Amino acid sequence: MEYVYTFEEGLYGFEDLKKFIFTSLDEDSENIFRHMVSKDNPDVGFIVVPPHEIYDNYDIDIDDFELKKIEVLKPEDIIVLSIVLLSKSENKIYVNLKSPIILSVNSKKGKQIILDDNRYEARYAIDLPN
Amino acid sequence: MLIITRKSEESFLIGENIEINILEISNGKVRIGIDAPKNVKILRKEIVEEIKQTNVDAVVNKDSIDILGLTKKIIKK
Repeated sequence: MEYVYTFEEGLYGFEDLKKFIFTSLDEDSENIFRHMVSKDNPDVGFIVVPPHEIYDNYDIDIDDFELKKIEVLKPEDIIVLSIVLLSKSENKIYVNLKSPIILSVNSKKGKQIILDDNRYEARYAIDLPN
Repeated sequence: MLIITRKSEESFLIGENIEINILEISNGKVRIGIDAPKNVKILRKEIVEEIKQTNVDAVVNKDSIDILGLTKKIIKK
């Protein structure tokens, strides 16, 4: 099932893209990565991943006003995803831990937030196995 | 753009509820105190620019399908 999420503020650098769909990349249900595609501009898509699947102890503090903006009512409403950059030439992926996407299952709204936390980088590199 | 000159320990107000205080000026750096409601985001500009660029670099479209094979290399924990 695919849901359309509304990003009232778009994404950083893509402020005019307000609607995104999250779909599987392929039929492989073990694949933790998903495809985030803009409904406003289908040429713009991102590969996203739940950060806890590839980074241990991703402890983050999301400001209440951010959660209010996307109408999160309870903690179970929240989904956190990180945009990744895939580099075939380096056999690496770079995970944006600094600026995750937060979604509210309750309202189907989302936004990208920037964490005020020195531990997390915008391009955290992970080597891929061969 | 409004250009203001202030000395240390001077301040100015923005809108109804934002106050900017010049705390200290030394070594080519200025220490600024910002009093603003929690719902006003305050971010260093270069951080925002970095995030914008990271998003732009991360864009994939149907022509980038060949990299999707990379995603299968990471197994769910």
